[in-house]
Amino acid sequence: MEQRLEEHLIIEEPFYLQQGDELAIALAAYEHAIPLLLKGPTGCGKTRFMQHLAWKLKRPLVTVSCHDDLSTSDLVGRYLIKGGEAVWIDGPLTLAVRHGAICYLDEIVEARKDTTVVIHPLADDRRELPIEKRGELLTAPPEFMLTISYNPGYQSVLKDLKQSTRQRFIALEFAYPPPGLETEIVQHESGVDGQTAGALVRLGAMTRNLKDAGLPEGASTRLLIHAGKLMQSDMDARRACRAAITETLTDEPELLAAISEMVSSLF
Amino acid sequence: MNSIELEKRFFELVPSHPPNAWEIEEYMEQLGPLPDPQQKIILDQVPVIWPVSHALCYSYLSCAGSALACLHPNQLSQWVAATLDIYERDGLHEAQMFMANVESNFLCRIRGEAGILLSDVAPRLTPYAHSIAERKIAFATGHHMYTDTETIFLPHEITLFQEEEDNFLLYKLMVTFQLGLLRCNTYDFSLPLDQLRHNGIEKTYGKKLHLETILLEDFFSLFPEPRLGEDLFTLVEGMRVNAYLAANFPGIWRDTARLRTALAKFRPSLNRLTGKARIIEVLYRYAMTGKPISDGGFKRSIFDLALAALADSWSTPEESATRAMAIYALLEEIGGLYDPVESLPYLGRLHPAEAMNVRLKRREETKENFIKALAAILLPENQPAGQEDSSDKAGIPAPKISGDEGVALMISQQKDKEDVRNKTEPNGPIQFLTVGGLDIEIPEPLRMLGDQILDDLGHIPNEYIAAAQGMAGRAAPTTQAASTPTGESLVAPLTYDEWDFRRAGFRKDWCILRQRRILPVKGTFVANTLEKYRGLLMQLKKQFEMLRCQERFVKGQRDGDDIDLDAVIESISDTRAGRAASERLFVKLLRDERNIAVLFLVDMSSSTEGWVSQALKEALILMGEALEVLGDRYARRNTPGWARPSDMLRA
Ligand SMILES: Nc1ncnc2c1ncn2[C@@H]1O[C@H](COP(=O)(O)OP(=O)(O)OP(=O)(O)O)[C@@H](O)[C@H]1O
Ligand SMILES: [Mg+2]
Repeated sequence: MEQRLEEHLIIEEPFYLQQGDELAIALAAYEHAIPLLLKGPTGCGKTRFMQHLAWKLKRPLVTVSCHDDLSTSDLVGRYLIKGGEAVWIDGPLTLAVRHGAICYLDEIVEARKDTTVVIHPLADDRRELPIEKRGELLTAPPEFMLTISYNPGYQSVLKDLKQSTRQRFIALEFAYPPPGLETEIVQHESGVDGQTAGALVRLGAMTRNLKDAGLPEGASTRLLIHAGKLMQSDMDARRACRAAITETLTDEPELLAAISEMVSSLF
Repeated sequence: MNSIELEKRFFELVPSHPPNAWEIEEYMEQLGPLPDPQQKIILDQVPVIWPVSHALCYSYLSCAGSALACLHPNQLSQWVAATLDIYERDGLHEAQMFMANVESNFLCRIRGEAGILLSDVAPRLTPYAHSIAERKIAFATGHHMYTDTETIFLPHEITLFQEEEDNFLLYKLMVTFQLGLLRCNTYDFSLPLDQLRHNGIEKTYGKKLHLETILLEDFFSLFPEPRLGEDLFTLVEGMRVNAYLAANFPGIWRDTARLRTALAKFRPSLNRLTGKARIIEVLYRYAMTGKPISDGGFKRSIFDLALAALADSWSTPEESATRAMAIYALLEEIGGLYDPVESLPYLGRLHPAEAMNVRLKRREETKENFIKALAAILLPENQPAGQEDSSDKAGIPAPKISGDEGVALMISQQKDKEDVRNKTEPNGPIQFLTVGGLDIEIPEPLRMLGDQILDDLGHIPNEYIAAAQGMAGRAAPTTQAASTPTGESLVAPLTYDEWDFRRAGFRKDWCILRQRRILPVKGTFVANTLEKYRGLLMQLKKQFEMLRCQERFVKGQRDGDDIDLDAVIESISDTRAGRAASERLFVKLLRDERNIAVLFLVDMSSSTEGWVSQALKEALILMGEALEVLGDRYARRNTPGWARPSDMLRA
């Protein structure tokens, strides 16, 4: 069992540039055993931040990507039949609690409402995880941390996070990094030179201005990095942007045309 | 008609103030060779122009023949009307230039083949402009190309080049360049008087200046030859924008290099220009192509000095002004009056007065919205405590604010982030509102308004805050008194409370509702609205789509259409482990249906006539359209009572 968790320990420092005081807040939250809620648009560095935090705290990071079929058993654990015998297998959440790891529930709103509720006793000051089937009540050690993330932007109103859930957390708001920082990130992650990274970041910012024009989300840092990587493979800059950014953002012909014009103005 | 007959006809057309025969002789000879119908069409416009300006009429007579080679005969009267507009606004010279343009700029032989219309390019350039300007920018057709900072005025059609792609590229260059002016803060020009003194302009030109700072619209008139001053400033500022575009939008700068060189060929020939105009033209061409002209018989030394003044890079419109003044002084050496040359096709002339008007209008609107938004959060019942977006100090009870307590308000600058990498403007975005010593986090819309005001004025005037406080204080009692009509029986007439925006509260039982049937009418309003708000509509639809009821399978049910295999396996395991197994072993197909009804009452009476009712109607159309996506039942009951129709919506 220990073995399985060891795999989740992050040995090498993940590259992460701070946007503000998020690290300080997260560390303080950890110290006081308060769970974290990360909000922010897709591809703005939430997952990367968690990896960095886990590395900094030297705790294993257990990530669960939530989906609408995720049941309580998927999180907590279940009996399996092995060689004719019923064996209990811990779910990722239980595993993290038992060993004082960091559990990161990605896109929590995607999970079923009844599933979300199991984290309630764990997320307040009781810090308990009841395992009903085994009649067991786990109390989390101080090293354990619960973190959830969600993207408020495109979530359906029906899938909004319940107040009783969100009010148990300390919230960190993530946005796309400011231009200087984002340039550094794109440069580091994709390997392009500073000038190209700067142009990619400007393109990103321009697409993010298009909310009123019908583009719900602009290009994320992740997309900019993708475009940069294509350019690093000797692909023509305009072609790279088209493949990595323009076409991924929309299918709407006029927006496609407009974004192509932006690309051809910048590159 | 021969020229004698033409002359006779001309005199018939201008019974008052006829010219001397010899004055028009030359022009009638020019018309002589044209076919009769064309002569007639041309002469038909004479009575329109003659009373306005004789000189313009002569120019018209000499241009009209060649213009008709480009213009459709039906367009001639439009063209004349446009010319007269320009004459009245910008004077004879501009009008003459405009007329000459048809001839020199609009290459007639390719008209209709490769030409591209503004309406064709607008759909793709609109989001493009938005993305650069970071706000909505409209396009409109105009005789001059310029921007008033909210709208970019562009030619109706571009037919200059043989390839459609090039014509499009010219549109794109025009748009990008005008946006460049916005990004480079050209219209934020404000020159401190000290700097002018330093440059000795006051002494040199003997102008008495009373203001502390000079705005752009006043700057040109400081020069003995304002038009020369204007053209020089426009040129120097244009060079600055050039540099900005070349650095930040290298793609378009590269793509249009060929185009700009080609455009230089359409410029008036240097040989026709003398004196100051010649140097300006040489500088214009330099600005377009980036290459200095080596021949052309102009004052080399002055040109070189002017180039030297533009050699390094500079970053503000005020510095452009300094340089323009320096070149102006150089040109004094040439002497003679300046005969303006055509401005750069993608730069055009600056229109500072119009930009200022738009800015003042926007300032007023922002002020109003800001006061309203601030008043809304100052309302007693909106005070933080349990509020979701109140800051981390939510535990501390917030003081009650009311107008008569006169609590001091202060908007402080961003203060918690020490991120140095984020190079914000000196002001920084406002993030906190300090109410009685307590920081409240500002909701996004208000923050944006605040940022706009800071951008514009550099600070948030106290009067704004005082007004908001006043409004909140005043509104408080009414809002408290308001109650919702519940439990009313459905007997006519229905009465409702009505919202009064002036007092930001409800008026009790103010509106009476009666139902009536109306007949459908045809119109373009719906289609126009849908077109106008395409972007918004797409967003709305998306949001509504997310609300759509779906059919979905739910697992772990007590009964259902199919067996939930996962649950069965789990229950077997549980049984083996000696635990009570779950009975929820089925999968069920679930169909959600909404079970609420909403009724919107919309006041279409005369009190909302104007933009309010326009906005209401547009909003209803958009809502209806978005509701379609939902697939729920809805009905619009436009049943106008004596003054108030209602709009009913059922979900
Ligand atoms: N501050 C940052 N420092 C270093 N890299 C960053 C930073 N922000 C973003 N990145 C880069 O952007 C990429 C995308 O970020 P990440 O995967 O963390 O996004 P996310 O917020 O988790 O998105 P999603 O909500 O879609 O899961 C990362 O792989 C990383 O390369
Ligand atoms: Mg992620």
